[in-house]
Amino acid sequence: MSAAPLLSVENLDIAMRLPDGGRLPIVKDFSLTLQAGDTLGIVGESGSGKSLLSLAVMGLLPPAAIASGRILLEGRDLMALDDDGMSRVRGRRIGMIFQEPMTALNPAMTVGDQIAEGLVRHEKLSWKAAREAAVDLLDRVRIPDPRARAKAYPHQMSGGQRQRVGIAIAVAMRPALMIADEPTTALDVTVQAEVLEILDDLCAREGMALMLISHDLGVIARMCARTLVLYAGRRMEEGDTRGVLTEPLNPYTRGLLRAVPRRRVDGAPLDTIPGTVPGFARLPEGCVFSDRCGDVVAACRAGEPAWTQPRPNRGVRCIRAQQEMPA
Amino acid sequence: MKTPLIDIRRLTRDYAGGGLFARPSLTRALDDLTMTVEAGTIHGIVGESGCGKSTLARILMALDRPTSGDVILDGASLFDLSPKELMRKRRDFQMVFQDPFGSLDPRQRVARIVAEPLHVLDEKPSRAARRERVMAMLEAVGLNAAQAERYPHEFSGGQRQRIAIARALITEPKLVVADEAVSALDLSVQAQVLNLITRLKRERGVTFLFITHNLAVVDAVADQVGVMYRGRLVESGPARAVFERPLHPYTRVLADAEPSVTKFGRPPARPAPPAAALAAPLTHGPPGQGCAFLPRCPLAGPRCAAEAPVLRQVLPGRQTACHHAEQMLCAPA
Repeated sequence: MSAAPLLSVENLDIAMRLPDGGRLPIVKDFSLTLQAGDTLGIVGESGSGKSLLSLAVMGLLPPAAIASGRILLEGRDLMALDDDGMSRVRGRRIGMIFQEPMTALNPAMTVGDQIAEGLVRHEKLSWKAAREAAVDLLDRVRIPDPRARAKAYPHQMSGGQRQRVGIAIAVAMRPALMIADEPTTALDVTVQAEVLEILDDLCAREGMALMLISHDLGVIARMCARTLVLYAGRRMEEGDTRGVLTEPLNPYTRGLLRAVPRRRVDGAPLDTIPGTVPGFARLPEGCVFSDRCGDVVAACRAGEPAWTQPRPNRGVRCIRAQQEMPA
Repeated sequence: MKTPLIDIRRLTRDYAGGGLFARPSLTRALDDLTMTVEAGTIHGIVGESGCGKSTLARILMALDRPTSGDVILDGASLFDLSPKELMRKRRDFQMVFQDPFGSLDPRQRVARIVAEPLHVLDEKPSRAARRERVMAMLEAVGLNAAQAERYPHEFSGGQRQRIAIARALITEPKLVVADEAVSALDLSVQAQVLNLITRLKRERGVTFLFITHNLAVVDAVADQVGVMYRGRLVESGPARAVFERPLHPYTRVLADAEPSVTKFGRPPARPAPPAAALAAPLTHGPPGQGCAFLPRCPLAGPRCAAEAPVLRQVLPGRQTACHHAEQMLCAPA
């Protein structure tokens, strides 16, 4: 492992500037490494900071956000780049797929031209050549009759087709890293299955790394080799997906997995995590999950647990996990 | 035999489409749908967008009228009632919506939001009685009296859905239609709301029509389930039996497509519809005659193109609209 990783996030903290001059910390002590071709799922409920995290990697943080730490893409520090430099990286090296394909697309431009636009701007192709490439891209995301559909407007397409157009735009520049933020949440399950398959195929074929952000553990199990669990802006657990989902080390991950709805033959109620995700302004003392955790002990409230690596390729933030880990 | 709480008879709803620049067209949102819901049960309705499940909810709430067919609620036809009678009847059926942010008036306090449906009662309760009912209701859904004076924005999504459920139950309705009521909630609070719905059924005998696209959620709470496709009911039966052994290929397709924390990586390739079946609609019968699911069906055969399957009983309590139900019955699970 001598080559620089594709993406490396080091000690990232993000805080929001408040109107009264104060700062509200959101993301704390966040690090991750992604090699070329890796697939990483980031699981989090609403208010976990997962979308802010993807915006940080894209260099699209809102002006009120203050970030510290380092985000290195192919060895280049993205946080040190100016707007023009970041814009070039965004266009060529990072592709992004959003949740709502209707609002992410321009309603007044044909989908073919929207795909071609990036190629004209970043690859300096002629519009003629770019439109030709767009038809090819539509074919690769399995839109039937791509030459005719390239002339369609977003409103003439179904939600699943629009999301395929979103994927085509994101892969047009052959990015090294694809960030997909809840890409299939708005879609029906059968359409979701098709879109995930297209995304999976494209990432494998192009050797793209995928960072998939979702609240749906099932989608992550389907798509990602590694999983990172986020809660209140903190990494709670990370590891290979099968390991995290079958042998969770953090009580929050265990609680999430138990809360997945399933039929109870004994008629007993479903397991729940008591309470709700706390707002960032009202986080409990010590471990951020301590107010909802069934395994809480006094030491959990004494201070925030550090990130530890109890096994190779597994990380966890929980003092109990360290105590109970078999050697 | 017990009379069902809701008796839906051959419900059809057409919407006129087209408009200024497009050719006029007719969309059939509900197609000859017949089903019953027993009192005191949770009846799940699953299907993808466009299957007509929300149209069904609107008609059951008397917010829309069917093109043909009838809904008998508790012995009386919903669409024969005079406006005044309908108003009085509204205390018996209430609704919980998907979006816990859009369905509560942001400028009203929780106590007032929850009390609002009480206006349809014949005898308006006194101020004190109203307050007492609101407090009891909030407690029943797991909120406390102190929260009654707050505004919706002070609550999380899960708490707002509890407020919406309290509002729906305040008139002690016989039926609550919940349209995607837990879809917008995070996993950790979704289970809390599902448990609440199960408890309200058990302790208060409330009947729920639980509409969702999420099979796992229906499997967790529903007694009965109906699967809809393109405005038709294609399968119905006890939820546990339907999910253990679907008798309609569409139910199987839905179940296979649903992601799960126990399915890792790429799913095994699914059988594609036979090419002969895909070509069939061009040669058999007039268009619209065949099975609506045919173009996506792995079992499709010539009969499916020629003749639309009707809902029929295959096992006791199990109905399906598929010519190949017996084949589904014999296939490995």
